[in-house]
Amino acid sequence: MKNSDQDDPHWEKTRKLLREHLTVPALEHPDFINSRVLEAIRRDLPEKSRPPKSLFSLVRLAWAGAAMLVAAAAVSMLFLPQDAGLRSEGEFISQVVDARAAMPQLSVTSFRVPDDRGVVLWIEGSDYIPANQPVQ
Amino acid sequence: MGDNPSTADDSALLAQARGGDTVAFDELITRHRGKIYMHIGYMVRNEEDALDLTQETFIRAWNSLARFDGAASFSSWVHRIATNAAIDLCRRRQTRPQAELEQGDMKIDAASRTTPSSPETPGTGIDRLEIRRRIDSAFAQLSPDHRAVMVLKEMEDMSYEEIAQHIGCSLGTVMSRLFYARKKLQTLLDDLHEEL
Repeated sequence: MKNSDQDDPHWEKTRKLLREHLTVPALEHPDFINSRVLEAIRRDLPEKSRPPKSLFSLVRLAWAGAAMLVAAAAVSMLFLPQDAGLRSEGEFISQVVDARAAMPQLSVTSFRVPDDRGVVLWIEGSDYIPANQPVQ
Repeated sequence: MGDNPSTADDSALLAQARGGDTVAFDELITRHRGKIYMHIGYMVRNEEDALDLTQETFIRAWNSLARFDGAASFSSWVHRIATNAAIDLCRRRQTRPQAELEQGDMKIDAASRTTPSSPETPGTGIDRLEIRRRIDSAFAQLSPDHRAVMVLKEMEDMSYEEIAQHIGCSLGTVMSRLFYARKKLQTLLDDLHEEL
């Protein structure tokens, strides 16, 4: 690895000084380096084999969500009556028996919505219903 | 694990270490710790720091094994990690009491010989401990980059090309750094020559 450059002879004196006196104390317990390095490496190894924390949280979150959905489905199956919302005709507050208009220019039609859940009253022939006109 | 770690060559141990084999890496540490410790010791001039940085160098190497492309030998690669670690530490320490020669107000003719021009200091004999202290003090005044090229060239006999490759800079930069580092050391140690 020697260099072929021609060095200044004056520098040679300084180089000689450096080589003679720029020393490094001997490594007294070299195995100490190995043990410290391996200790650090082995300390880090289990962490590396573990999945990252954020990914672990996401998986846990997904499982928790699925469990909540199952629990909610079970509660609704157990406690809510299966026929909830289906009511007989007698339970309605009011019922359209007949739809006709007293004024000749008006025509009234009633439509029952599917499943008998309500009635639409369709009035034609007037832009508005006068305030003094009773609706029966 | 295949071969006996103590008889396998570095590349075989390296392959095993890359597979997570700490015994193989332990053997690599044993083979190279002396050279790495010496290299760092020249750079940082402190035994405790040299020990700590040697350990840090091997830990960095272990953590970077997956990124090591194998273009250079393990020895060169870990040596380079050590140089960078030592330069980092020297920079963090900021123990440069004086500005670098090329950055200061002292002009140096590029064609000049590296002969010191500072006034001579008379002396009457000097012991080895004092010489070592003076050399350490002078060496500590070099910048981390200058110190690195000085160690690689003067203490470890690397060629300019090898140094350039090692620290990742141009040949001209290596020569320039070496020129100024030598000049500064000669200036600082000039009176020491007179006293010897």
